[in-house]
Amino acid sequence: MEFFTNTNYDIVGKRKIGYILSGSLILISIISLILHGGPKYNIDFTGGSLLQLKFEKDVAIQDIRKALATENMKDAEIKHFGAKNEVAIRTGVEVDIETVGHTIENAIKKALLDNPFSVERVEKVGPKVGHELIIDALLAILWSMVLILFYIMWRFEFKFSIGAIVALAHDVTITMGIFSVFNIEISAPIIAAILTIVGYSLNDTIVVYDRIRENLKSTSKRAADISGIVNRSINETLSRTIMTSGTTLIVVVVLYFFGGEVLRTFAEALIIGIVVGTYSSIFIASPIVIDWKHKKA
Amino acid sequence: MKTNTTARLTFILAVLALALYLLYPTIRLSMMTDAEKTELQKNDPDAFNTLKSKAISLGLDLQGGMHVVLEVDIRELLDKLAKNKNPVFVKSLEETAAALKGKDDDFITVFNEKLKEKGMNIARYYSASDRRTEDKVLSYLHTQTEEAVDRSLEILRNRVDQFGVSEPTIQKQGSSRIIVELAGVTNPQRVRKLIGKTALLEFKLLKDPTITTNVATKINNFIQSKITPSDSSATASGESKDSTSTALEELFGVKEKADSASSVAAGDSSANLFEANLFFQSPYDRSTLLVPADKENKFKRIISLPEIQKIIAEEAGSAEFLWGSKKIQNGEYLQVFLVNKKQELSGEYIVDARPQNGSPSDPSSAGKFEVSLTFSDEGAKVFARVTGANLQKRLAIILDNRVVLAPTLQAKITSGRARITGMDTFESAKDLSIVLKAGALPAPVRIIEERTVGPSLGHDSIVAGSYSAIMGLILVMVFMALYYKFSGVIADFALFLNIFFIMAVMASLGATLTLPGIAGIILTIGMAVDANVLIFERVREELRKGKTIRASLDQGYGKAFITILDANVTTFIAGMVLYTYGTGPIKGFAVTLMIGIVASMFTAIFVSRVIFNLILENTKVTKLSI
Repeated sequence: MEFFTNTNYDIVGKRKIGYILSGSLILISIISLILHGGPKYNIDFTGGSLLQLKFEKDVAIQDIRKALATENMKDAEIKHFGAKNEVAIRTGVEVDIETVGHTIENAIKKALLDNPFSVERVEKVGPKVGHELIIDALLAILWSMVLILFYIMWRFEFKFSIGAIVALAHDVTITMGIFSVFNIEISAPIIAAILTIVGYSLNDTIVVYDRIRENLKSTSKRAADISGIVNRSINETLSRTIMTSGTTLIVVVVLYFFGGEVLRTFAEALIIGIVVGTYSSIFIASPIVIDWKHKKA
Repeated sequence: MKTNTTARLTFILAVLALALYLLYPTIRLSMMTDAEKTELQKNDPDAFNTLKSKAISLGLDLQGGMHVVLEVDIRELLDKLAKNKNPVFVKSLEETAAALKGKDDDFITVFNEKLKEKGMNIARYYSASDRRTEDKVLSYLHTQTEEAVDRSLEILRNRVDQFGVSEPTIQKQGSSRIIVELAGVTNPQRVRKLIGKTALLEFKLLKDPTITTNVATKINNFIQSKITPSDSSATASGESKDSTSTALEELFGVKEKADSASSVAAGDSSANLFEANLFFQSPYDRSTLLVPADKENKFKRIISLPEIQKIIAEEAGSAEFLWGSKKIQNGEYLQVFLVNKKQELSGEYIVDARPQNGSPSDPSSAGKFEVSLTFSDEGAKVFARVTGANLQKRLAIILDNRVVLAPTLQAKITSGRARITGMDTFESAKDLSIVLKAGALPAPVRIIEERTVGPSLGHDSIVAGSYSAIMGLILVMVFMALYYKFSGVIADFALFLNIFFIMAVMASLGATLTLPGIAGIILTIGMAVDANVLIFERVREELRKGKTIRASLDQGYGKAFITILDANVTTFIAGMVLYTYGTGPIKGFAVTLMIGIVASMFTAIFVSRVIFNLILENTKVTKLSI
């Protein structure tokens, strides 16, 4: 069985289409991020509390909201978590984290006498901790980009690292943008997922770059038509790119459906990131190398 | 060539044997039922512990448990250590706390700056004969903080050890934080109390009821004077809520609507403070003042006013108001006591504390629980002297600045024993005895982060995680076998070994498997085949060019190697950064990701190649199944 073997798609020639598509996606992402006032952070970053309760019977959000309203927690965010008998209750930093769990438990216990529950998960983050996590996350993304940039500069040429970093920024922006459009929260695991995407997307990009480098070497200097070489390299590695993305997508999709509620958004971020990352390494990272070279020349 | 392959094969088998050896404890432990585990733990605790320490441990998110980050309250510590406190000190402390909200700057440094802004030298509050300069005082304060954190750590360790949780982790983080990790905790609320309590036990004398009455009357008069005369003309008589509260109110002879005071003082926010009926003297016990539960903060602010402090000083000398630990009258009222500032005895002298049942003969303690305290010899002497010298007076037992009990001293106590009575559950008596025995924390600690996972959720996560991993593995294997036929099967074998090696390395590093860690392994399953995909695609290309099987394999492996290395290094860099900046579970993810990358290079490149060689050398292959 073989797919995408001996292909000869004119990807480089049609790179403008890719640029326009990516440009629009980035624009939409940025607009969405601005409209939403930045990424929607979860309590890992904003500080606050999250309680996940499992009831014996199905429970209505309304009933819980009513129970909490008397405790000055009208602003608490309450939603079902996975099943109808499980809820997640989120409060902001204004509610004291030392007592919040107790208060919520008691209020609900009183209000829903016939439906006992157990506390499945508690997450409380003080505002200071949240602030530090944001800084750590930003530092992590920044450092990984810088280190990878240097690695590529060392292994390849400068223009390659520009292409790789543009592709990376592209992937991270669009992933964050999609999260913003669908109003998904950014948590600490999501940052981990994004960093994994950073590594993964580069993985793809480097495979193509490697082939470009190899093909550049084997072609005589005079006959070097950079566009042709890049296009040939993309086509030669296309089968591998699709294969690897395919197997990785398989496991991540499995994780999305069967990995449980806690890992679902993590898997979501990875799915988005893998699709975007694969696309960018084919349509963005390599074509940019050509345009950068042309501009220089 | 042939010997080379044999050597390589031997190497692989050796690695495999090592991995098996490393994984054996994990496998054995996971095969044992809970009953068998308890059995072994009982019969041979050493063997059990070795087994456990060598097996891969599960993160709190998988086995259920609590992760708590505590911060030692440096503000309180500075307040406690200071001498000659003045309003500038109090204000600077408040400003520092406000300025540092959400920031991680050093409290002492910022506090020093705030003092300087106001033209005050920090040495004024903390100087001693051996430290007069600012630098010396600052370094003294930093050492004190360090010590406070270290001592808190020890005390918390003692408390947790006595609480009886298996394998607790208690460690320092940064300069003022302590991380406590407890596996399999079923009652988080109880743990929160156990580790969050300062547990400062003090014995102080209660002021005489007549003095308390005097102070209360004067304060009430002061409040009255702040409310306009027209408002205070309304007196207690009619409009009663219920008989008890009327009786309470009559003592101070004022009754009016709570809101009226605020209407008087439109425009002046502090005037809102003054309100009649802020507190009463208990009709049953003249040493106890009662404050309506919803007016706690107002009362706190009133008594901190300089005028009120003056009244207290004039009438009662060195005394202070302390809150009682319980609400009374169905939680409507809080108790307030006027006590001597002087401490007669403290918890430092306690050598033993035990929970026990209340004595059935005593009606006040029957059916309740109590803590029996034993003082050291020295403490017993002090206690005997204090109790002997103050007969018929009331001695307040104060825990963390709240009056727990204030019994009347009936006789001199020479036994060096005391009881704290009136607890509703045996558990609360037990926990109190634990914290008293472990000693008081040098400064209060606050919970700044907590993550608790219930055991059933943890179990569900393991099941869901393993299920996803197995399913992902099978799907990828089937896909590879279909796409690359027999070569795909070799890649599958390499993949299987890869997972095996990841687990073995984790076991040998003593790494913890977390839920994101499982996700990392699952992700590795998808990405690990990448190396083989790269190689196989290359081999196919070479075969297409008409090269021999051996040449194609050589070329394929050779050319793909550099690509694989470059591509994996970048992912590895991302993993390293994650490990550096991530916390807890995220670190777990980073670890599995990094181990996965290294293991996949070994299995996908080295192991699969040896298998190909073995086949080529031992059989006549005319067509490569790829």
